[in-house]
Amino acid sequence: MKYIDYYKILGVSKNATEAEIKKAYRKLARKYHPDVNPGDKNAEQKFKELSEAYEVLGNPENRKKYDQYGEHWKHADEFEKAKQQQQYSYQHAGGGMGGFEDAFGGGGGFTESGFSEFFENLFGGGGSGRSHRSYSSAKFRGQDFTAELQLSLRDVYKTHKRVLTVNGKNIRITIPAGVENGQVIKIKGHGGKGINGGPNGDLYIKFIIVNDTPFKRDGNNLYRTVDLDLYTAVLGGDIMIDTLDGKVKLKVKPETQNGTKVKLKGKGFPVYKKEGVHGDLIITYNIKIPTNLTPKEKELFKELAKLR
Amino acid sequence: MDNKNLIPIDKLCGVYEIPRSFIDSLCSYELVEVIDMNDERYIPQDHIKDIEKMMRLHFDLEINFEGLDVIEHLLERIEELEREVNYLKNKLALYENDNFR
Repeated sequence: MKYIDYYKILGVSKNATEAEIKKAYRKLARKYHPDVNPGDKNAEQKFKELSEAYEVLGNPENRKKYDQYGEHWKHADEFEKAKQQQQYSYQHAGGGMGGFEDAFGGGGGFTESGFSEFFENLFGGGGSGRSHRSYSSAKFRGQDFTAELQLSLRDVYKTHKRVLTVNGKNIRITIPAGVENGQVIKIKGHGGKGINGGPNGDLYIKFIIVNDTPFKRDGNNLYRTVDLDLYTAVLGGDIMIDTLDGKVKLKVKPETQNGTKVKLKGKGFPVYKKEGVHGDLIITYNIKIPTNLTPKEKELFKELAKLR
Repeated sequence: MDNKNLIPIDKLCGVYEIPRSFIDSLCSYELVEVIDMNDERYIPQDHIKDIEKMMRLHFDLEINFEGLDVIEHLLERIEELEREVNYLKNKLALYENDNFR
């Protein structure tokens, strides 16, 4: 079990005064408070540590217990009682003193993550930042949860439903077509449970969109470079183009130049929350010059060159 | 007006155990929208989250109302910048692999 040095967390010495502890806590709490660092997990964890440290060191009685018993300070009363009992039995039966570890099996109430359950108990498992004001029966919204969801570009081409497991609960959400990489959506009421009957917090989902297509996406527009053979570029013709919605036939104008861009209106990516509205698909032609020419082809090209 | 999503200020203060003057001050600093209707003052339900945040900042961190105002503006600015960074990151990703344009 890891010993947590609350003095170190608050950056004060072991003989700091109450005022110094309060000042140190206020300064650090302003810096790391979750409300001024939205979405910052490190700041949230730091604030939890600070709050726990201050709950202990900011209260003279708790501080005294902590100074004496370290991480087992919560069991101070039980320790004292055990000590008195053992002193009594020693005096009366000549027995030796068992350590506190023996008496309580070393159970200091710290979680595996390294931080104390104490904070969880105080803040209803939320740790959302409410701390030193006593709200005896005040109702509070539960903590907001944040999660990341990785989807492919093809996944978000169409509106679809998905079942997510959040804190052991399955929730079915609708993911609207056109969601952007990095976009965050709010699912109302699926965060932490409200305190004293207050409303539940919200769930914020950040989308990580991985591109599994040959297209490039810029907002609602899609881009793709398409190879075009020299003869179709020179003489014109029809080619088949892949879109995310299937194949489309495209007319190539005669004498098309390398790098020419063609816009296919409405064949791009769906516009977020605008049913049926799409951006454009922009095709860039990359004209392929034939290689490994036969003697006959070379001859014909030479003849063509003479005509220019 | 539909008052289904409006919460009377007195009720709100009772539930959160906060003085009425706190909401009045938020209102005077234009940090919260208050609706007057039928001789009663209400807070729209969707402002509760903001009020809770300001309660925590004010009561837990002892930030005064001027400070709350500054924090609100800065947080809005951060949110805007985060959106812009995300947009630019997505844009940059277009150019990172090849010169498709």
